Amino acid sequence: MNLFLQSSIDGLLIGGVLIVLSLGMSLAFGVMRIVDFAVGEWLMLGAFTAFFLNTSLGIDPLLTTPIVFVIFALIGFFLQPLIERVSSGKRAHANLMGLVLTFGISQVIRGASLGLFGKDNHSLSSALTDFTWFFGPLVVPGARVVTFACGLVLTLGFLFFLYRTPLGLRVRMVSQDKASASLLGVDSSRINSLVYALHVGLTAVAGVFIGLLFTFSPEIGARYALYTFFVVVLGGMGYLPGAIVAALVLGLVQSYVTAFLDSRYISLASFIILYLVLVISPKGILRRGLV
Amino acid sequence: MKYSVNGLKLGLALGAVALISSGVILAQQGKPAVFKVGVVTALSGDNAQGGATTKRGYDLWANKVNSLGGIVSDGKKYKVELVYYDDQSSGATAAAACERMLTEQKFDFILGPYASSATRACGPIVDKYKVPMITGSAENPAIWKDKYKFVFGTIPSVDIIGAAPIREIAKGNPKPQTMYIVGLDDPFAKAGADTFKKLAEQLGIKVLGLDIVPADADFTPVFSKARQANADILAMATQPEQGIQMMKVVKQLRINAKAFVQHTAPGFADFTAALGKDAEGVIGATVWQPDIEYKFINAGAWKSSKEWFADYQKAYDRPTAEYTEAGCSAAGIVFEVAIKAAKVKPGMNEADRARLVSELEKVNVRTFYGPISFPTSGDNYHDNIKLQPLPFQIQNGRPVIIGAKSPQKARLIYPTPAWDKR
Repeated sequence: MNLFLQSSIDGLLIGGVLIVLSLGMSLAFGVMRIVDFAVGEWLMLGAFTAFFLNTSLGIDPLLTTPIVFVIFALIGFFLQPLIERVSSGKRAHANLMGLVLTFGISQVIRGASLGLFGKDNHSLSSALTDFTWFFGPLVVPGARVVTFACGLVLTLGFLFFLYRTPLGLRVRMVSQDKASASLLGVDSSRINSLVYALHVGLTAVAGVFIGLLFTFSPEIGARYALYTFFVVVLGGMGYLPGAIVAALVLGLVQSYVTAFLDSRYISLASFIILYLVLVISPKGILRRGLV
Repeated sequence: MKYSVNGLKLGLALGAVALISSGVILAQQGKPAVFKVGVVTALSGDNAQGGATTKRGYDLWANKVNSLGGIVSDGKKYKVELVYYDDQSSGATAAAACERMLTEQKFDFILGPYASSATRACGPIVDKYKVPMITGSAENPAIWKDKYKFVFGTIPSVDIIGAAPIREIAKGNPKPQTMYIVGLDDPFAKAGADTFKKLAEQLGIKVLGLDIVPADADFTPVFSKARQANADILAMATQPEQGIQMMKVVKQLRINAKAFVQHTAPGFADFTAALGKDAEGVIGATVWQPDIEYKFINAGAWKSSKEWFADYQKAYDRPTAEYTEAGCSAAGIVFEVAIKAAKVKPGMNEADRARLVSELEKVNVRTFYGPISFPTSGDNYHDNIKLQPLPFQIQNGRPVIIGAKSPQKARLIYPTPAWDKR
């Protein structure tokens, strides 16, 4: 029983990080219809930015998250028009071109990072997360609680923005019907830039959380991109509440399989669930995603 | 008139092409012969960091040899040229890279991969093309049980190295009674986990659990299990990146084992850099460190570990070196010795390479890295097992050899202080 409870805690807490990681990507797909292959590289760069802010300016890594968000949101904002230019218009297979472009961006970032940062592993350590709660035999690590809580706050803030603000309404309008939104005077290009900025900023912040919990190097991008794709597809492409549920499901599956079966079956179990969900409900776990 | 101008242009162009071509040919003819060395290792992917250690070791050797004029063979000196192929941290890609390397270009010999899986994948291919390969890194004992005629290794296998820390901890007071083992799901780490288990059983230490985990998993659930087992020794068989991650989880869960053992991560500089004081007390094993000095060195340009380390720091500006890096430089030295004995020249044919292998089998030298020779029978076929495995512990931010052979006379700190008392 203790192991079950501990596994549930572990799974839910890691799910919190996966939520932050997948929220931006889910929204970006919902609005721009672009699968961003560079998601893992934004995450990696976010972790490195926090690392350099910490080592050069002495800022606690957790407190770097607003700075990291702003830096990467700006990068995303100014990069998006390029992606839009390639992935829209009358050119053949425009979406595919966008996919190839983001893949190219990921390769450039990865290659440049290998040259700039080297191949060593790095890690972030925050004095604000260096505590552990004990509830009888159960252990709740501070780093996980804090990252989960930050993830929760970001998610709620993000959902508030999306569902309770006029700008959020315009984002949803573009997501649902770009042509109609344009007819109603919504500048869809500006909305696309804003959404991509949010996606890149949030993903970079998730990178700081990953750096606090695990390690990072220029090579980690592909690994976390896979997790992100999994969550976004399982949750239903472009449907945010679905991504949240899917992230928690993935966290719990990983945890239970390790505790009660064998961690070598994590990928097998995860993808069986993904296939079953897609066969039964192609619109994702909550049946609300884009097909 | 127009035709004649065009004809003139054509003539000039052809003349220029002819001049350039002849220049290139002359330049090639005048180019001194060099030993062309293929290197297949992980330049990208999960093992890129480990691959970088092999590259540093191989490059350091090649630069040293070339700075001294080259490898001496039959009274002449020949420089070496390293050509790298990326195995992308995958055994299958390593095999493909090896095959491509040996069919696309002509190499005199090969310096081998970082990972055991990649080395094992290259074994049948270098045997097929009959090109000798020495790895300065791979530690999986299965490589040597496969008995590849053309594959050699300068590092003893993990079943030899990995035993050293467990033997040292078993001397602890009070004697540890239980052990929990976590190993990564790769051939090298699984062999390490097996070594921990077998040795624990031999020493009367009860193994409470053994979990094999994929490298990209979140390790928290598995260490939650380990925490509940409450073993005296928590032994981890890992690669460098996951070694750091595991210790982060161990700290997050406040697992207070009496001893934490890892092979092979703690020897890497980034282990202590990434973990800071949380790395303190972790026990590992090595066969070489910069402060270990061997006497009667009779092979290679470096006459002491100190000399090698000085060149290393000058080239890479890193605080410490890991034994794989030294083992890779030593792999080059062994080729030097065998080439000199075989009196072969660059552009070797099959008979030359067979002679080189025969000389490699006779090698019995002492280098800055320690003694090297290759058994020609048994389970350690072609693997250098002359080096002595030594336990070390992270003390005051650096790996310090502990026990009877410690140059600093350092002792094992046991039990490791609890997390809240550090």
